[in-house]
Amino acid sequence: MITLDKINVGFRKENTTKLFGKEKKQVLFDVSMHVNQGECIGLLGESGSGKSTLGRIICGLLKPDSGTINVTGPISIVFQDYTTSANPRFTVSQIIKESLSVRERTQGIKIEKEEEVQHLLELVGLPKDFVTRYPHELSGGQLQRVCIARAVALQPKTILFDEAISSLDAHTQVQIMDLLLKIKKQFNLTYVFITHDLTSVTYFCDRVLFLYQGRVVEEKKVTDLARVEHDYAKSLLYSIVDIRSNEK
Amino acid sequence: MWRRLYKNKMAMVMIGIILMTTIIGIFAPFFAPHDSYKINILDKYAPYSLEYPLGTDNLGRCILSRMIYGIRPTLFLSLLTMIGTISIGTVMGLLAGYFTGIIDEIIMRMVDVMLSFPSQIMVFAVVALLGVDVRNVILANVFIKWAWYARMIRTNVMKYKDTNYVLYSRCIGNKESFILFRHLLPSISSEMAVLATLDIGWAILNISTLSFLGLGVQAPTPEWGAMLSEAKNVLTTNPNQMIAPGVAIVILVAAFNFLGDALRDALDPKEKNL
Ligand SMILES: Nc1ncnc2c1ncn2[C@@H]1O[C@H](COP(=O)(O)OP(=O)(O)OP(=O)(O)O)[C@@H](O)[C@H]1O
Ligand SMILES: [Mg+2]
Repeated sequence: MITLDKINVGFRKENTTKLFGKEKKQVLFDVSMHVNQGECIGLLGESGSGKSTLGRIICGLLKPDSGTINVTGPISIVFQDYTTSANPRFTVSQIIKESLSVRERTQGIKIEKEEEVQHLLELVGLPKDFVTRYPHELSGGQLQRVCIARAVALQPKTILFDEAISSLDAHTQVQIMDLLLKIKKQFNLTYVFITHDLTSVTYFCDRVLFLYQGRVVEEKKVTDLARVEHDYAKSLLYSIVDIRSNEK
Repeated sequence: MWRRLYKNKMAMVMIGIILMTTIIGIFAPFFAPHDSYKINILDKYAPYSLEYPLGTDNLGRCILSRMIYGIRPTLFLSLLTMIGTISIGTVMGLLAGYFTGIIDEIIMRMVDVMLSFPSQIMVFAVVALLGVDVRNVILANVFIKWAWYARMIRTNVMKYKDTNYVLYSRCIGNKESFILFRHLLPSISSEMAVLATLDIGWAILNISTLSFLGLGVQAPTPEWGAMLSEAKNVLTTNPNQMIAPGVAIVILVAAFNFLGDALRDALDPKEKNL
């Protein structure tokens, strides 16, 4: 369960006019949201609207200037750029073991790591002999699966996806989304799904938040999408509808 | 990475020169034809010969033997200097780059102050203050040079601190020590290897310079810089005496610098896919 209340975030401006001024460029304005256990929420917005910033706030990498955050249970994250999300000097097995040792520490238990790595690889549909491979020896889709395995290894309550599938080709995207749905059901996870692609949201999420210039402008159930009111949300929706009708 | 270095002919030749020098230095008594301290006034200024392959100096000591024994202080002291600067620089740079905020502020202002002194004069000042002694020379060198490395390492740490794998570690709440020692340190290790190699070259030069000025290794201990210093007194009468230590310093320093550049090429991530 995640609750955000009136989050404001600003970054220090590079070219301040005053010599020692602390001018800030505000990126998020009074963002509030609530995600229930087991829900999948989509965060939709154009480039620069503050989606990644909001993601960093949720997983605690960034402190907001004001507002409160409440996240229950461990949270894990999968990034868009899979090329830098794994340490290039680690093998697949070491990558996954990092999460496992954090879990050992937080839960105070002992884990048979080798076995667990094998389980996780099987879960994300990768052959077991990948354990000794390095990130540059995997394809994008395979590496993203490793990142998902790593995120799941933590046994989190929530997983945050920051454009996790945007840089994969359409076919792989569908495969990964199906995999994510399977995992979600199996472990009763909560998903926060950041994207700029409405189609994947409708395929995948229960509820959508539209972020526009740092504000939440619209919040709708996926089934109610047709009834959006804000201009930005409308234009996004219609652009897709347009493409669809053009295809026909 | 090693494979690419292995293919680099220049690097291999340089490693060969450095290794050979080291081995000769370690087994000096075995390779040296004469006792490096034995004075033989009757044979002074001897030209190149079978008995004295590089001739003798103003006191009739075998120059080759002195060169061979001189490897020990020259290499050993510069290694010590390098280890000192790199380790202090790494610790400071890691702390500043990773923790940022107030720690970064304090360390970097210290670095700024250190870097705003003219370094050579600082060495003289430190040696003058603590007394003429090799240990003080090393201390002085480490003292003036660590700041430079701290800044280089900090820049590198900053580069890797925001990579997604470090963000992931922080997101899931992994230990700081894991992030520092398993993610960041290995990531900057290749840059550090380059720095360390170039640094040895610098240290050799600097220690030799100080010995030449009479502030470092003292006569009669054979050290290349000190030998040059002795040779300069008889420059007009016996120019030969100068050639051996001078050329040796140039070759060894050049070897380390070339190796540093070759390492840099070999470790350049942009060429990773070649
Ligand atoms: N560390 C930072 N320092 C200063 N400004 C930043 C920083 N990070 C982000 N910003 C600014 O905050 C705004 C929102 O950035 P953010 O990364 O959240 O966008 P986004 O919605 O994720 O975009 P995209 O879809 O392109 O990933 C941008 O205008 C960006 O310039
Ligand atoms: Mg983003």
